[in-house]
Amino acid sequence: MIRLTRHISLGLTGLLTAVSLYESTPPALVISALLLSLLWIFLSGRFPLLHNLMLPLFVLLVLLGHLFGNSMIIGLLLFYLILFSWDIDSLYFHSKGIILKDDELKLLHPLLMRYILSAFIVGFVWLISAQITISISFWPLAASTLILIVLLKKLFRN
Amino acid sequence: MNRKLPLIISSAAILFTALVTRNGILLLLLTPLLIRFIQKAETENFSFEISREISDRRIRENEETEVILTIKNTGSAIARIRIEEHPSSSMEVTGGKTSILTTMPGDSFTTLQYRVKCRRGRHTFHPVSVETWNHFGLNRQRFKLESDDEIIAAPDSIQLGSLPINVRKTLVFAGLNPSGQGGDGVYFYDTREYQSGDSLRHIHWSAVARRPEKLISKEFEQERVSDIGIILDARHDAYEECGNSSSIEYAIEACSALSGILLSLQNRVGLLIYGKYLNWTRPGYGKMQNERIRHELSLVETGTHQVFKSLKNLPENLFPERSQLIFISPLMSNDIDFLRRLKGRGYMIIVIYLDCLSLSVDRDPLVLKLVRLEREIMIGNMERAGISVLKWDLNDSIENLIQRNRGKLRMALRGVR
Repeated sequence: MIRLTRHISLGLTGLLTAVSLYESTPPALVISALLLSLLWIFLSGRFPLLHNLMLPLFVLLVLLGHLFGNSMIIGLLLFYLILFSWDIDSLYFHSKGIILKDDELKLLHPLLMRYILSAFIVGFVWLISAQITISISFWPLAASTLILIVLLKKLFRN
Repeated sequence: MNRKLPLIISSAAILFTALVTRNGILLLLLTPLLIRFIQKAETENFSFEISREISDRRIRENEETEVILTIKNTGSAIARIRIEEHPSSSMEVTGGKTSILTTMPGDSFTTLQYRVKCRRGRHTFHPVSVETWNHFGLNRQRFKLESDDEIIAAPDSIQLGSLPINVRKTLVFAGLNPSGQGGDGVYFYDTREYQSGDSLRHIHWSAVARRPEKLISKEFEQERVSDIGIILDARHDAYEECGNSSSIEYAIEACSALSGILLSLQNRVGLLIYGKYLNWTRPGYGKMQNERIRHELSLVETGTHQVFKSLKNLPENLFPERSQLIFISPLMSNDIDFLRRLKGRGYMIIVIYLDCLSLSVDRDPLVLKLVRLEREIMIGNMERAGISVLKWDLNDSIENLIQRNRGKLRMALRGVR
């Protein structure tokens, strides 16, 4: 089941990213999205570095799509799909292809629950942000910088 | 794979874009990423207990046995855990699973069940590797869990149908070997004048008919046990000299087969493995001794120790005086002197010469011819010294070798040149 879910979600990620980029961006980006998803499906098993590269690359495509005029809601949904694919991919490779049927549900269930929870949080923030216009001024900028520093600190600690 | 790095790069890219475009809504994308970092590290209270249940710890070569590995999580709950069992390379996994990815609540256990087939020898298990992650596949932690389990695979021996054993020196206990002395027994040995107490059934009536003036009794040959020592040559150089270091498996097979049949014929058999070190199995009788010998044979490895390079350090006093010795070896050129010395001390010697050259196919024919010639000369010299040599073509079985050399063996064991 995990294998099938992985293939479907990776395929969908590539396809939907390409579709989202189709109208607003140059065709090269569309083709890149499709090629990247093919690489991800078929070669990330042989080259684990590809797995790590795919998340930033697809995030970049989503951000580019947003810059070229895609709506935020599409970007957000795509981003969720990419993250989900990335997590399923990690689950598949951690299992090394061997996983018992009973365990598949046990592993997938908490992951899905966390996605639903985070979707609720994002939806809630979205609803609030729809009421007030957020433009980056001093305080958000300071908060963002702090978050970045915390993330970098985590990176170097590891 | 460090999965945090791509997350941080993606977060940084989103932040950077949000800052450049001054679009706060983009920061929403950070929420799922931040959830991953906020997740509590679940790596603090992990502890495991490991145990292995092996259906048969002592098996025959190439026999299968079932292994059940149980890992108990005695710490906190683990969201994602991969357990990998690593049997040694000499074990072949024939069924079941040796790795698993699962979740483990606190105080729970999981099992891995698989079957292995083993070559001859002692087989150990590498440490079980355990990797844990949180629900998002982050915070990886690795553990190596050790457990001193082993499987011993004894050599698979051929059951020899018979061995024409007829040893010159016998012990006092009743056995199955003709002792060369008259007395109670099964086989006719001689005739003598009737003595009071002799059973009437033992009167040799044909002899009495020829000479009616006196009664003649039949005498039977006493059957006793014998002392037999088997010497297994495990010198690496001996096997390497003939270009096939794996031929020791044939020597072990022969050793196992011979000790099996000799013990079943109620002899007292001892084993000396000469190679890596001196491995001496004291002479004994019966099935227990057979098991002891098989156990030692299962652990045989060739050795390259300088002390054991030649046979001169072989302690001949280990074997009872004038007992029968069976030396199983591919022979080295300087072995003949020692064997002659043994013969001179009154031991009866049979050499089972492993013709490793019979397995060599990639050697220069001229070199092969010269080596064969040298070996033939050595065997000739040994036979002239009263040592019986059975040349074993390794393409043939030990049983055929014994069958083909029945006469030679009988003569050798009787001490006839």
